[in-house]
Amino acid sequence: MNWQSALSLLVLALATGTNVSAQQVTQPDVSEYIRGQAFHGDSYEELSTLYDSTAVPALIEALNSDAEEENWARAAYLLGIVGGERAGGALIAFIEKGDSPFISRAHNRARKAAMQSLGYLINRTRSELALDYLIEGLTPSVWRERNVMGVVPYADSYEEYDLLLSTYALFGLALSGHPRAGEALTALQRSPKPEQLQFRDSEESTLTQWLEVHGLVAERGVAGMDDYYESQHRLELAPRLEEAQRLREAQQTRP
Amino acid sequence: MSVRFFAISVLLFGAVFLAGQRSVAYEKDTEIGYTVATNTISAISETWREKGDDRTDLYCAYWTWDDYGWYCRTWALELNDPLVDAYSLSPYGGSTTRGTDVDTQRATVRYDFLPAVHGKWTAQGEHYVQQWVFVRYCSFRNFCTGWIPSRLNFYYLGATAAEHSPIFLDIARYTSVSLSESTVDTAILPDATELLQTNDGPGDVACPISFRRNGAISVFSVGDGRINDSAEISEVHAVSGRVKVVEEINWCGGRAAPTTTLGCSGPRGILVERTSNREGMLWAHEYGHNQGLWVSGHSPNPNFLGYFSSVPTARRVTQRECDLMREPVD
Repeated sequence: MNWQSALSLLVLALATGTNVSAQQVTQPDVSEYIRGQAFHGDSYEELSTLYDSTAVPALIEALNSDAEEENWARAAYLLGIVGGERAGGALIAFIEKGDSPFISRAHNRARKAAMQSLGYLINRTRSELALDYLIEGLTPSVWRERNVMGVVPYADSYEEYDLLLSTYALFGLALSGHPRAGEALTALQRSPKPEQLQFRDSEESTLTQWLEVHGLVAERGVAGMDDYYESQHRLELAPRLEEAQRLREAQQTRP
Repeated sequence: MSVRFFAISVLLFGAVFLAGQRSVAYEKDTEIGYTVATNTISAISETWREKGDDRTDLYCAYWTWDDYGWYCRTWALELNDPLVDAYSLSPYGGSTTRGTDVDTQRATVRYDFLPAVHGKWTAQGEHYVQQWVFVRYCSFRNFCTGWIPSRLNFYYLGATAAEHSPIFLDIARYTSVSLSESTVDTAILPDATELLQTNDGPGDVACPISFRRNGAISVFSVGDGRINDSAEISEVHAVSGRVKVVEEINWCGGRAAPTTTLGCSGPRGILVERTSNREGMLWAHEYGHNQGLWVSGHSPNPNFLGYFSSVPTARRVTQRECDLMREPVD
């Protein structure tokens, strides 16, 4: 072996060692995350930095554990951010899970989170499975065909709950930013199928607003959408912060 | 002979026992040697009630007797406020006892405190108020003195009454939301109050405010209980109430709300979902936003209420944050 080969091997060994070291840095405990509670939801960007696909088994396990019902929403949320195709299957299975006539608010919150999470999954992986699932979900009667059992207490009937589930599918498609999702939402707005008419009419303002969300995600990505909203918020705040600063300075100079 | 003695003993015992159980309408006067009541209490309602409404009662919580007869060893001032315990008042120099244990010793007779006194509440210095009551002493055989003015001193533990500023919140719920006044009064608001009033560590202050429900929880039917877009959130923000409890918050602050959002502060109040975890902390956090806190970003410190997540440690508030939270409610 000549010295160049030896040097190359040394560099490779060092690089590999460094890489291994980086992989050995453990991500925060997933169970700690899912048992937490954010007042205003969790940051997509932060979670996507903190966790990776190694969290998927634990998240799926949590979704399959009745003991974690209060935490299902957070598990579902993270699964779409870090998971792959397997995550898509697990999220769909979770959405359709349940065989009792009623579900708790926590369970329903998790169903909503799972559908939004499918949107994140589509955004990251272009999952056709998840995309088709949500697009079909824009037709309320599909949920009967899928035999999704369990109605949340604030829905008076299965028909009303089907409309709710379609709304969640709408959220997921908007958050995906996928072109086909945009087409489906636009078609719903402009030329709904007969069986979609009631849904479209009941959620007209929501559909309009979330089509804008879709546009933002399509253009900037999910993290970029968050950054955009944050910048808008700061622009709105700027006059108030300037005024507050001016008052503070005036107080300090008061004799 | 022995049977007679036994019978008399039983009768005497029975008389004494029954006497210990009876309720009596007597108070001890100060001429015998006590100041009627001097004790410390930690909070006092500033909204005293009217005569005859059976509220704000002064009663004897524990009767006992000595050579001079029956006397009240422990007075209790019951504020009939769901968030304030009944406080026991011991004779001058005695120890304090506090709380609901006096309920088991409660005499049946009560006095509306306001009409029992001739005068007004007067602030005596910074830490106590003083009021006069009329008391009389009655012996075991029911021989009573006349009514004699006595003085009750109520001391505050630490803070003055003015520093315990109750913040009354108008609360409204969407028609399908399940939220009882009992849950608000015994869990949510006390939890929110406790975390603010407790000094939890460096950088924290014991913020002397307490949250109270203002009237009945009103019910609204505007919208469908779900906030999905800017029009719906404006509609619900316009509903009367500082706290509005809804089913879902999917839009907040001009944007699609991140999944699992539980609260949202608006121009005229806060919106919250029900949650089984640290609901009081959620309300306190959103209230802080509504008072102008953390508008340019949450606290990065998980020990502070301004942190973005309701971790168990997120309980501290700085002096500035406390001051802002105590600003008058519009």
